[in-house]
Amino acid sequence: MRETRIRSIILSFIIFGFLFGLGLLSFKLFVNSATYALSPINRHLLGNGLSRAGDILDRNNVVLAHSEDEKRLYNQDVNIRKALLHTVGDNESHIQTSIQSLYRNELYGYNFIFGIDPPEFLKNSNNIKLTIDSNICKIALNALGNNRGAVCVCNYKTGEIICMVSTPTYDPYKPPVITNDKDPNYEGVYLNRVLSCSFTPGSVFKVVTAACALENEQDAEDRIYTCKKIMDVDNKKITCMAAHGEKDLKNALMRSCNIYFASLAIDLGKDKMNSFTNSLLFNKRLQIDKISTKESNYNVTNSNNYELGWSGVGQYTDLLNPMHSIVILNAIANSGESIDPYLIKEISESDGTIKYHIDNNINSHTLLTKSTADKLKSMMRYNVQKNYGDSLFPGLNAFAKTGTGETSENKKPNAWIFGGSTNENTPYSFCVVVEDSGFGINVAGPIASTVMKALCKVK
Amino acid sequence: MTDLVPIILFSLKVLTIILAILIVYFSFKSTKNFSRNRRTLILLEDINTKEELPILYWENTVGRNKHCDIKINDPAISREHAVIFRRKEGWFITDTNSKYGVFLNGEKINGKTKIFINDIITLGETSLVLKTADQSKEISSNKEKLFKNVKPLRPGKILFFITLLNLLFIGETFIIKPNSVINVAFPIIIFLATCWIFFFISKYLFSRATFEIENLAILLISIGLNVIVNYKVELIFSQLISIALGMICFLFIIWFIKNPDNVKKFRLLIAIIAVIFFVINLLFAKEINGSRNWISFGGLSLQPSEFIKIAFIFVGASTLEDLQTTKNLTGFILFSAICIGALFLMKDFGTACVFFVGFLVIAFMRSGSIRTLIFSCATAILGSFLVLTFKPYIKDRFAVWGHAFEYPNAAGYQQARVLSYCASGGLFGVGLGNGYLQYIFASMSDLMFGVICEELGFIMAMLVALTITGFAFFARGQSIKSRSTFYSISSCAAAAMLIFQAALHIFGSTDILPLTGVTLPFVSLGGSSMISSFGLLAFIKASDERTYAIRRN
Repeated sequence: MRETRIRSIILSFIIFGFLFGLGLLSFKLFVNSATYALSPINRHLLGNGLSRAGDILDRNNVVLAHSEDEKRLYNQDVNIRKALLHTVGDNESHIQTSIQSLYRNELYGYNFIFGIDPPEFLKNSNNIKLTIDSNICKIALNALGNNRGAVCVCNYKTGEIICMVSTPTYDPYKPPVITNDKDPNYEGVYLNRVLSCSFTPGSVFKVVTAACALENEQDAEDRIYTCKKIMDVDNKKITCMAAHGEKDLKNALMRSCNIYFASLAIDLGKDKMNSFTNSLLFNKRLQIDKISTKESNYNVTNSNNYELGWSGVGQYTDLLNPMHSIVILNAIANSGESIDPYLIKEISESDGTIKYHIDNNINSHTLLTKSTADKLKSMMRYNVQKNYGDSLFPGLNAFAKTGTGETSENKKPNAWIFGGSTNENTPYSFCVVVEDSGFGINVAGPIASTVMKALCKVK
Repeated sequence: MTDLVPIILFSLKVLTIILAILIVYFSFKSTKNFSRNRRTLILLEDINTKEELPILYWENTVGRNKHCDIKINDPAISREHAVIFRRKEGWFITDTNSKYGVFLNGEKINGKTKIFINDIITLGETSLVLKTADQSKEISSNKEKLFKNVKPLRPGKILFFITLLNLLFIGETFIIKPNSVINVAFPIIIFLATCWIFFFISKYLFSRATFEIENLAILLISIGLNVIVNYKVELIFSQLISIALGMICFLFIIWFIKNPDNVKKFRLLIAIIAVIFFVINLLFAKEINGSRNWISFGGLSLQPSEFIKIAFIFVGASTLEDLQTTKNLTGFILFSAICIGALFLMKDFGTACVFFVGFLVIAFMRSGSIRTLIFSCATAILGSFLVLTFKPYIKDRFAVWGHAFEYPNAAGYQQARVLSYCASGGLFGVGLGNGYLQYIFASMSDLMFGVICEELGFIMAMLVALTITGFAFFARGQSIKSRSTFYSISSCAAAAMLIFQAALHIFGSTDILPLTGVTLPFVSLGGSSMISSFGLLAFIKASDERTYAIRRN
């Protein structure tokens, strides 16, 4: 019998294995409970489940979403609801970068002890205040009209994101039933184009090529190339809109000369272009609060001179994310120091106690030297004055660059404009992209103008 | 008034958890009641040296080997010379293939021979006289109380608290879904009535004094049943029938194995029937959700592999006398290989693993050979590799293992939801019938742990797991006190199979192990599983010395 008893130790091993597993499970559940519970697959949180979440407010305390009578309610104005869909989110958590998807933990006040459905007297939901101005967003949505595109405005002195609108959109009260993925009315409707998409930049990328030259070459500003409308590289043609003749950097940027910037990129070479773009945060996801953006692409490691030339004018495989372009603009506007953009101003408990405030959490990156940033800003300012005219942004002393990104044969180009105001009292940078539309200045320009005029209270 | 409802509901949840914890605690505590202290049953006295050799167990090996229960230093005695054991009829001695034989009162014995007080047993050059424990000169500890912790047994009281627990569950349903309370209460009341009938049959018909293990099983069933009944009432009636059949099976097995020597007469028959079952299964089974482990006739479907678990233990376990006389494991290994092979053919890998663990425990407890363990595991690993090579689609089951949460809408569908809803439940649960995991495919059988975690809370789910662990601790505790190695081996094997199945269920559904889709013993929905859980539990109950020894007065 004693031997049998000794041999029964094999059962003890199994028991301890089981207890160890239970310990591991408890640990796993405890550590990851918020991730698990607040996952979009959790049906407790969908539909009426959202009724337990706290309020979402804009910078002027306009209520964007709140809970009442076991229901999740959004702003009364349908256009504000549509303009802020991608920022606030909907009941079904379709938009993964939205506040209602990423900040569930804070909105619910979830904890593992009481679970997702705590009794009424133990509820602990928080309110989130955003940096967004809902009224400006509504104006941006109207300006975008039926186009697919994105508008983003940021305060480059503070990093506050003032406006972030993505179209197509829908009313969170009436989520669309999408039967055909290719339906143009809803193409990529669940993506926030400011954060989760990258587009062929076209000429706006010339600012980056110029910055690369300014950072690397002593004589960059005075360097002259001659544009004869067509240039042969490796027996293939790089073309321009017109024969611009001899131009220096400032005037080439103003005329948006392809030949100039293609030649410049080829002369700078792959290594400088690659390492500079990487230092400018290309090929990297950016972190906006808890949101991870889509990365911008720039890679010429395996390309020939012809491709390198096109890459310098924002074609080839170049892609630019609108939020990343804002980060670059912030550096240009702010003497090379880019304040990280953010969306969350404040998180407070229902009794008003502040749990998180952005003031203690502002970060910044030095992306450019002061001289490069200032030179770029003045060249882009010159561009507005000479090319578009200050009537586009009256009183703002704006600096800007447009772009027209060619995508494919059967689609119209992406229209871009990005820039900012140099005024002390209107320190805003902006970026507008409109997919499949037309020339930057014709399509994106008026949208940017409308939004900036409204924001800066220009009559 | 409406503000009060959430407070009442929350208090009710906390109350059920506390009550369940107390039931488990007191049930396990009272398994100690009336248990025998380690005391001398009878003793052997060396005629020449007057040295006393106490006999402590129901079955004892005698020999020169240091592991023997009765160790005699005499070069003429074999390493394992004989077995002295107790049966209902009295004490016996068997020669276990010793070199020079065993002599009783001068006559060489042949086979199992009854011995009496004052008989002289001669082994090698040593002669021993059998005495009662009171005749000892040295052992004074005999004056101690026969039983420690003598308290009145109150199994009925615990069953009363389980009844109360069920009423609290019904109360919870009444608050959450007042309209369906009648539908829910009716089957639960039938269940409680069944449990009380089971209790009275056990108490009065079989005169069993103990009911703790049964109470714990009833607790587990209550938890599962209340979850199921709040999901779909129509599932409950076949479950109730299975519970009743399980209880009958439980009583039958305990009765059937009351004399371990008789069981071996049926061993071959049971093995053959088990193999025939497998053959029928393989020939006639229909494939349900990827496994061919169901057969159905006349609208009744069952899983033969569940019943073969019980047969497996019958075939594997044996008495000390048998162990010492027939040392080879070949027959059992062959039978195990057939069982596990058949399960592989049925693609029921979870159950195959459960059998394999049962095999390991039985093989090791019989032979004590670590070599056999290593050899078996090596074979199993090799076999798994072969299966994965020839049937690569099985790899898909392992593809998301450990990363299920990253594929919530593909291969990690079930696991990701179990994790999400487990976390949603918190410590106290979202309430009976309020969960969402119940709507996921196979939730009531394969994902039951998650459903309990979500609806009744993490504490209750852990309590379920710990209760099953408690069965295993109990089985291990009985392995020396039991009336025969047959009970020790069978209870340890049954406990190993129960706990390992629980492990596959709990850890498979929570992505700690690959998902295999086995039931949680006693808790999950499933008739065959319920009956076999009761069958396995019967072996654990039988290993408890008190089951047969103590009678109700």
